[in-house]
Amino acid sequence: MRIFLKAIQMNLKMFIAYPKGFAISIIIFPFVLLLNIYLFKSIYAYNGTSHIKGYDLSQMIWYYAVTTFVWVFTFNFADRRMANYILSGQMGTMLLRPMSLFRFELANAIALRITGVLFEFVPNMIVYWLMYPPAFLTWTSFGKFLAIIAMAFCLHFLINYLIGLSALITQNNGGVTAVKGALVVLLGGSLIPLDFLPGWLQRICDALPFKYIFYEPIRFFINHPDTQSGSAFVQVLLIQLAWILGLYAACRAVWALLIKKVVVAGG
Amino acid sequence: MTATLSGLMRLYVWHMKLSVSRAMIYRFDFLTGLFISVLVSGLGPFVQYLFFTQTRGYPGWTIHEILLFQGVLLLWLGIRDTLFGAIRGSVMDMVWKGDFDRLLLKPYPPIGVLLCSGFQLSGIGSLIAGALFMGYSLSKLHPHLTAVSYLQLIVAVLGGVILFMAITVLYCSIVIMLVQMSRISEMLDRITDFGNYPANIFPLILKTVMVTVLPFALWGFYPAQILLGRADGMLWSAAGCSIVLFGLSVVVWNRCLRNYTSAGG
Amino acid sequence: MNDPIIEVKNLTKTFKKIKKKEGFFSSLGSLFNRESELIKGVDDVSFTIQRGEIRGLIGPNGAGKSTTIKMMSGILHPTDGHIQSLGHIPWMEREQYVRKLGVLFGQKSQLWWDLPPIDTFALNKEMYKIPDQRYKERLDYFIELLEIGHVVHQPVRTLSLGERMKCELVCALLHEPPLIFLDEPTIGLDIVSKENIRAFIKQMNKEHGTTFLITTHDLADLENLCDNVTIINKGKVVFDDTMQNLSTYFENSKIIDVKFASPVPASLLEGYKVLESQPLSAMIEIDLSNQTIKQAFSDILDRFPVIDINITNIPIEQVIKHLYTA
Repeated sequence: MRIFLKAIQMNLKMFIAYPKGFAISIIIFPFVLLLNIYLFKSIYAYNGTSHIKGYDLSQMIWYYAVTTFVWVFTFNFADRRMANYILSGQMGTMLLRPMSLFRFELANAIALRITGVLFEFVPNMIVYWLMYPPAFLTWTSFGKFLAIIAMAFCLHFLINYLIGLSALITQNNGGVTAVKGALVVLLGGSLIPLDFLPGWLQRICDALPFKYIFYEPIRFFINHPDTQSGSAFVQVLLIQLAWILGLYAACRAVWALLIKKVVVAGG
Repeated sequence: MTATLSGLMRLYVWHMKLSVSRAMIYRFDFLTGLFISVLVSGLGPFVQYLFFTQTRGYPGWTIHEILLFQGVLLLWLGIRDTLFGAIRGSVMDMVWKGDFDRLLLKPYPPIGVLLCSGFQLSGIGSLIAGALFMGYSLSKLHPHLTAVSYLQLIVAVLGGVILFMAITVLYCSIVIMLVQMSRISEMLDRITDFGNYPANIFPLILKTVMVTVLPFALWGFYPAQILLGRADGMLWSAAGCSIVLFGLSVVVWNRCLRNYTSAGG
Repeated sequence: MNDPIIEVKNLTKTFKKIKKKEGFFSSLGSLFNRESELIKGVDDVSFTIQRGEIRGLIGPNGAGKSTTIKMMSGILHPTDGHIQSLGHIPWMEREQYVRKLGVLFGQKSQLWWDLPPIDTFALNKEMYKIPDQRYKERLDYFIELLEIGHVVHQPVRTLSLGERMKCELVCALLHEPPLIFLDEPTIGLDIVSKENIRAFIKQMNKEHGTTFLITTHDLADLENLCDNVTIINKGKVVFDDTMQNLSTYFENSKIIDVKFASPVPASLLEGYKVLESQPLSAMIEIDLSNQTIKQAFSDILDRFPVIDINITNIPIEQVIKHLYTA
């Protein structure tokens, strides 16, 4: 537990040491929101409907705004870091640490996100709110979003961690990382709401974990009618939990394999 | 001045040769990377396709026109990444390792040396994808091109390249000014992303911005409009503004550099 | 001989340093309001290097050596003071100036990691516009001199540190600069590689009259290469003279090594400045400000059963340590 606190403290300090980077994010994100407002106003006016695929104008604008928030809440470098440890042969020294690498990386990712939420989500949320008030938002829906996004963070971390470990097999996993990136944005719903995808592709998305990182948290945030029942909330949480457990088991399995290889081949 | 420019051009060619031989050393990685980047580049047009088939789309654009637009855009992204794709990475690397000083030991303007090291072979992934989409949509649209439209195309592409150079120079300035820059790249992309939509679907004020102050319309919008035979006169102002922006970016760079050399170390 | 290639006068460089505060809340406070202080990284430094000289520039870590070199190469502007080098003010006419300058940073590589050194050389040929014929001659000359014929066609990542450093040297010297700055050129190298590099530097200096400025932490580099040495500490020049004068820096002190025929108890040595003592030998530092060497000698010979006696200067290491910690 202390290592978590320490990591959080270090990250906060690093963030504070470079206040200009923080200022840039506060300036640029609202600008992006403004452009999105114009874009969707014109599209909705042209289509002459109040709802497209079940989203009204403000929900559609916020859908894209929340995409950014999901990144702020869940983004981490675990894939790159793990791949680096493996490919550069640093794994040996990492194993000398008196704590498990998994916990260390998790602590780091959590610390990184806490700073992100404090210095990017909070100020940007306030600015966005003033620019385009989210009429749909209620305390309950926001609370549900927080629960779902916390799970989404774990999911994103585990996927990245696993992808990082895959460097063990692929040796150079730049390609794997790129494909994962593309899958996450397309099948996770950060490029376009999944409702736009053809039916068969939506089935595939249902069977993959990516939509539980972006699509579902976003829909809870914008309080989509489908998410308002308590059962929908519990259902999504349970599916997320199942994925987390499954991925964690996979991580353990690959880790065991890795250790064997490191011990046998000497890093 | 001209001697410096021609020297820089030759340097660029040399860097290009070295980059290619380096890519060839890691042939397998390069080819898989190329394949993946062709696929990933297809995402943008695919999303637009979805949007168009599921809604009425954007005002003033048919599905084939928007695919042409996407193809042009990808082709542009390919050109951009091939010509200057390596710069962001190498600037970051330099600043991280404290190697930036080395740039100042070269007998050329530092920003020139940086721009000359930009060639990146992997950019041809989106180039290929873009050419495919463009070929497909052009075969459906049968455009009529005149001598004027060829001239316009050249102006648009050159203006686009100059604009991108301006943005890259600004990026480098920010990086040497701030040092800590993990997010700057992402933020810059967020802004330039708006060049990924046809400028004429935006309200007048925003469209005006996109053909003057930030003439992103030069990248996808104008070349597509020219091919569709409907470019307006603002093309010239956009191209002019890109030159002004480049001038400005160099001024900013020089200021940052002066700051660095007189305060840094 | 008075043909200065570089003249540095009253060179000063101040940095603004942001005060970092301990503790979370105070560092949060510094987000909005930062205190800074001015620090003199280089403080009123003056020295002159003659054409054809090999000059050592040494100092403890953080003494201001790198900053001085950066100003001399035109990378940094000084806050105050003046440099005239090869007829240029480095930071004013940087592009023309660096064309005539070779710089090697031992800790940083300018070779392309994945490619053979020959490719980087070719790039430098382009960069410095070296004519084809001249480039070929020059390259052949270096390849023979440094014995790197088999190395230049192998990817840099497969080379040993010594081989790489040789290639870095070629990079810095290919365009025939009359003046070369070498920042720790022997760092991390084994004894043989170090000697090769030194021999090469010496030869370039002798045959082509190339002027070298070398920073190093290896005393052997200084002793083997340098005619003159400038020592910087805390931003100030604390010594600027010949190597000869550095070795006799403490002219009033000598070290005497004595061997005894029979064990001498430590108590008998009281009153002397004993650096090291064993029953059958001792190392004594003597002060010559109030006695002659003859007096000191006969005093020791009289008192102890001496079978061997040896007199030396205070070792350079000692001198340098003294200058660094002063």
